[in-house]
Amino acid sequence: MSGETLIQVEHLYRDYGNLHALADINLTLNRGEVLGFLGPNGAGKSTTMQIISGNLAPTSGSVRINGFDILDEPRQAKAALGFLPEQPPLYLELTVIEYLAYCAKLNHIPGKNITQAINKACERCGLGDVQKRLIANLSKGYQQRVGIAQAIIHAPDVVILDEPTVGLDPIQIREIRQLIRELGNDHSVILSTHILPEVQSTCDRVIIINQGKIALEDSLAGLDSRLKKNIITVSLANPPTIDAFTSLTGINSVEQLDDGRYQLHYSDDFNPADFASSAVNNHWQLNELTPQTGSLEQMFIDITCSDNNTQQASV
Amino acid sequence: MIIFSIAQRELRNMFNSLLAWIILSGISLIVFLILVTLVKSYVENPSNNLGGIGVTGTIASSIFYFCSYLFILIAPMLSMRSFSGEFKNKTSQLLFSAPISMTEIVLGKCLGLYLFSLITAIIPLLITLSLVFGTDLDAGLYFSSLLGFLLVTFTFMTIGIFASSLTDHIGLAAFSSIGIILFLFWLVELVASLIKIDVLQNALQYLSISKHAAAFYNGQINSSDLVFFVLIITTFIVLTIRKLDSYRMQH
Repeated sequence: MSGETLIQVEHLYRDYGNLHALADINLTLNRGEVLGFLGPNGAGKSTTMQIISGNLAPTSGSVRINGFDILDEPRQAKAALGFLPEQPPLYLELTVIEYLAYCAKLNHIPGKNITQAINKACERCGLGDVQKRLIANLSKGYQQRVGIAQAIIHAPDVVILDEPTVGLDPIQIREIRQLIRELGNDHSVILSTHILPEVQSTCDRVIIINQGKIALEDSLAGLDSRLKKNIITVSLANPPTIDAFTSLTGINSVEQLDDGRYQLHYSDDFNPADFASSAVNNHWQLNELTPQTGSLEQMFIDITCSDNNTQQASV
Repeated sequence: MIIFSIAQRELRNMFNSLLAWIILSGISLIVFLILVTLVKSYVENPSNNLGGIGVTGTIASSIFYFCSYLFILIAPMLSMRSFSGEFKNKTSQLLFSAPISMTEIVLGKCLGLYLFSLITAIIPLLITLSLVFGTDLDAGLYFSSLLGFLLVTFTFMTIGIFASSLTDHIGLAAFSSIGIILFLFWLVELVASLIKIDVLQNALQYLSISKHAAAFYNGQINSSDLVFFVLIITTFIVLTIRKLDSYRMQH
């Protein structure tokens, strides 16, 4: 079954008046995959999620879920879909059980299976203790879980979560992430977020979207390899001239930082140990030697900002 | 059936808030007071028996007629949240991403409100039925008045739902449904009387809800009036469905 395409989005455009919110978005989601959908605020994440879930119509382009077009065959397409919007769609005056029972009916779960479906969803989302409480009286973290329970109650093939951890405290965030990872075992998940560690801890594949366009699409492993940078930062009490650095094997270029430290850009044949021993031999008095690894954050900023620059340049 | 689940939700939502109970108790009180007044005046002066239509005509029909007037305000109050509230709380996304059609959603909402009309009808029904202890009731007139009351309130509720689908501002939804109801109930006749072009005048007069309702309270069930109510209710249901479909296009 793996490798089967569950969501296929092709050439999606969406305009709000003169504003092009989305331009040529293409994405696929395979069975059993957790896809991170990453972007700064206002990049078009929620718009994309809304379109995939059928809440918003695209200006042009198509969305197919499990082979069914969301506009032409919405019933079949939506049956395979569970959606948690940015603001969970909760009826605050209902208890958790009443609310989930209503959601189950909306999703055509037959009457005799509803109790079972509610129990399963509550168990998975850790709602066992609060089942009979009014949703209005639950904490934000629990409300978020009810929102997720609502999305998975009909055991859909695809679960779409739009910024599920916004406004939660760190412990709740950890629990929700754990839950998302578990969901990934038997559902395909699209996780929209602007929080980078969330992607690193839960996703198999990442799409970075910026200003309505896909800026990067890669697997998490691919991302990790992109993050490796051949840079070390050194601090020396008695530094030599710049030329002395570049004469060492493997050092390509040297940058002096404002605080007196140096950043050495090296190629693959460079060995930090050699640098340390030559520092000792030449009495440079080595204080610090730190390999520089790029963070996802840095790459995110690079991608989103460089796009800004090219856009501004072209204007 | 999904329509019934939505209707049930809508109905429970009304009874979860105080509003429905206040409306029901208010109507009980008003209907009771009117009944006492009407019975008193009838007993004191039986010659008030307008056009020889008897107790049922002067008392029971009048009460149903009066109750349908109350719904000019009650229907907007009950229906204003139907979609506005869901838009406002973003719970509309739950409905729109579920595997159900817009038609089912709208019909479910309407059915919920129609059920409330039915429940409300029980109050004037039971209170006027108390006349049975003193006199004979004209069953035909009684039934046609009830039918008139239900059709008029169903129409008001549907208009309310339509107005509610126009905006996520609850107050604005209530206000616009009162506007549409008042226009179609009364004003349209006023406007018609001002217009001298026959075709237009006839067309506007045809739209008047009170004109079509009047026959029911006189004991007549005309198929042309029935058709009118079916048409106007269907029109507003279709308009609501269209409006919601286009909701996905804009904002």
